[in-house]
Amino acid sequence: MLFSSTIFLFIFLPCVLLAYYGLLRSIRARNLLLLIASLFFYAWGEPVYVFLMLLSVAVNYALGLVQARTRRRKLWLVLTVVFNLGILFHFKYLGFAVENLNALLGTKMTVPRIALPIGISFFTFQAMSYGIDVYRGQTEVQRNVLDLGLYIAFFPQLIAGPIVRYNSIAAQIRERQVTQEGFQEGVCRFLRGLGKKILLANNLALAGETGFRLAASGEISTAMAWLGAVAYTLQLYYDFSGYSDMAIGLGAMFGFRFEENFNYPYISRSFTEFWNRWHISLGRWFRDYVYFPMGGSRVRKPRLLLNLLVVWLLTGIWHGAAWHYIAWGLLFGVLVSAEKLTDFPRRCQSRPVRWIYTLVTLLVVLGSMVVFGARDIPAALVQLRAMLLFDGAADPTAALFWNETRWVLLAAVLFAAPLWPLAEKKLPQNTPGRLVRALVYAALLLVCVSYLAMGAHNPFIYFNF
Amino acid sequence: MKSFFSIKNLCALLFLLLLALFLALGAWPFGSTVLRGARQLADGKVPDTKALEAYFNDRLGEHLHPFITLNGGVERLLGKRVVNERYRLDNGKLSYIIPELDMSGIAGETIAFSRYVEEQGLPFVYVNSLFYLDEDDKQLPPGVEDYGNENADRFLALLREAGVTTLDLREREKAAGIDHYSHFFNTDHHWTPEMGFWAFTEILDYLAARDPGFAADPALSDFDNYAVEVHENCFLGSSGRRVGAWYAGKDDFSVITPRFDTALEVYSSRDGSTRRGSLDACLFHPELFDADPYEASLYDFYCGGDEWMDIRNLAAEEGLPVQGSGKRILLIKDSASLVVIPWLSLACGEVRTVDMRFEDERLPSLIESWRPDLVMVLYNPGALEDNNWNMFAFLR
Repeated sequence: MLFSSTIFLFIFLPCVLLAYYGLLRSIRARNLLLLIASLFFYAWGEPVYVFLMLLSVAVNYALGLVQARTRRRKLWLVLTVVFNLGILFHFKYLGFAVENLNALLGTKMTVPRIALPIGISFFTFQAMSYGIDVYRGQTEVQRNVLDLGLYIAFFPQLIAGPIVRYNSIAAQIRERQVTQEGFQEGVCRFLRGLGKKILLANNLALAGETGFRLAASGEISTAMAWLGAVAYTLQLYYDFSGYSDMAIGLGAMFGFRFEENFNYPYISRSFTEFWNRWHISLGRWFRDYVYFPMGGSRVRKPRLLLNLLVVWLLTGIWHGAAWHYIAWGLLFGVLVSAEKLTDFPRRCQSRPVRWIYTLVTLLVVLGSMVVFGARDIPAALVQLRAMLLFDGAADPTAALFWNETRWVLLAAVLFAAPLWPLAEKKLPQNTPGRLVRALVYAALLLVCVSYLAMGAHNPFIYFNF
Repeated sequence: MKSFFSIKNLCALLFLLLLALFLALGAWPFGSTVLRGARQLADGKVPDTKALEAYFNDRLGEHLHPFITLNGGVERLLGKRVVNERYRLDNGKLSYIIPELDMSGIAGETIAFSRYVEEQGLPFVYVNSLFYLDEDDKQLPPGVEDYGNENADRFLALLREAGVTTLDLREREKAAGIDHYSHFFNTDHHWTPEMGFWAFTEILDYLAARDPGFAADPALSDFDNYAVEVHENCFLGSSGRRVGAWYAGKDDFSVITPRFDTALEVYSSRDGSTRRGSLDACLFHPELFDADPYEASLYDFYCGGDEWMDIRNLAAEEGLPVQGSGKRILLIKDSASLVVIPWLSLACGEVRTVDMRFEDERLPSLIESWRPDLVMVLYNPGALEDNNWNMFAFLR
């Protein structure tokens, strides 16, 4: 089920809120309700794979219990990791691995075509987080299978993050408070996310898709290559950060506080800063569970380089079983490593150079998004080449998309900077100010629903990761 | 909890209020969706949730028309010219576009059909009606291409090469110097009733020139013998329904009624009924003026819809002063013909219609048993697609 769907907004959310606040009082009953609702939410999109998720919950629960009772905890941790990565590998990477083995060894093994369960990368990483946190003693083992099920399956963050680490939420599952301010902020956050997704990301989607399609066919003009790249770069951000906002907002409506996942990444002045602002929960997961255990940055330079490249290789692979994702991850690995080794962004004092470096960062990020979103590496190279070699040709397709998306593009560029929170801050905290704020958010919801009523283009990019 | 109802929480209160409204709107459609899912479960199937959601959206959509109107307003503010697969022309009208298509398949079927008809000893004519877009002045946004007219050109060329009799109303329109777009609705791809009447006169002229037996009372093709009542801003066409009235605006709709006495007997397959009376009593559907414009098309006013009909002209039988030719026409038609059929039925003895989009098993028996004086196909270029071409399946 999508947050930006009529079934969610007209049925699921009102019913869950009604039952949660209107019928139930105890935290146990409310947790049970949220778990049942989450399973329904997942089963609506994946009626078969919901059993895979239940299996994941059951096995991780059992492994956690065994880990807590045995001295050979490391062995059980390894089993936890192998089980979760095994699931992920089977569903996400097996076909890719066989395909490449065939190409490498000249074999003719049958390439399995396995449908990817929605959100598998998110819930398996959360499950691993539980096992590792228990192993490290950072949290107690969860003895209530329903509560562990709620952690893994909780619908707001189930299928597109943020990746919630177990130690950050275990206490909230046991006990949490919903304040009126917290609920209201959750509502506003949810609506901002809905607006980002429906009004901005969806309206930019077609221009980005058309750019990639034309690049794959080898017939793309400079104008369309740029327009497609900019549209996709913004679409990806608003799609994913919009989903994260909705998840954080929904969590807040039920009293949960999730970690932030985005912090205006396109205003970053360096690649390192970009990754501190982009998909923060994934970056922290890899930092805490991969990078630090490998020694982090407190190692010799060659080892540091290796650590960074491993993390970025994994970051790339996490996004998808395709070479262009790996290339995308490694590209950032190289860029972040270069910054780490030279310390350039911090050392550079010249304002013009810093401005230029900020611009370079933005342009390279733009180019990297072409690699990320393209069908494959050759198609990405076609589009990047078209962007660099100005053909000067008038392109009616680009003209059409420019005319259709220019105001949305402008809004998307403006809101990529923290203008919205600034505007909200400027609103006076009195009755007229509150009235204006409420009306703006209500209008936002109604306009979003109007797009749903039109059955507009509505893909969530990050579901497949 | 009491303090929750304060201005401080207005955002949350409005949100909850709107969710409550959404739930009220969605409850009934969801109930029927659940029933449908339960039926699938009872049949031992895993419910197809995608199909169920589509069903829910269909049912819910009936309550969301104000949202479509709102969306149209937003899209208009954004200056969009492409909304929900409709294109706003330079003159403000809405159109869809047709890709370049291979015409050989449907042309081959039509040629085979015309030969079959002629083998039965019956005359055949293919009439190409007007397309929404003017071939010489498409008015589409830059970067948008349409091939509706070009497809029709190639299709007609293939028919003519094979010796099939054709009439291209586009040529007649150009010769008459008619302002193309002024005779099409803004919110609908069909021509106006006035233009439908013009098409009728051109077809009648053409038929009478080929066979004088088709000549009818000249009063029938004189527009002055008809009363025209214009209903302003009442019609939201099929394109308008897709983008909302705030985007599309609304069209005027003309009701054309003969000033002379008429008498028809009409069998309609829609409800299996037979009506007898004047043209307006038998064919017109004035109740559509009161219908929700998002649910019913006022364009169906003249014939009620695309169901097949048998229309007998009783003018001669009842000795009325204005009479048709008495000829019998089998009309294979699309929806553009709805505003032609009434006048054609007055000019003939009997008209039986078959809609092209639905394979009609009675077509061979109509030709072989009923044996009309003419088999006429009246299609617009927008209909020249394989998936619309099921009516000659019996010849495959």
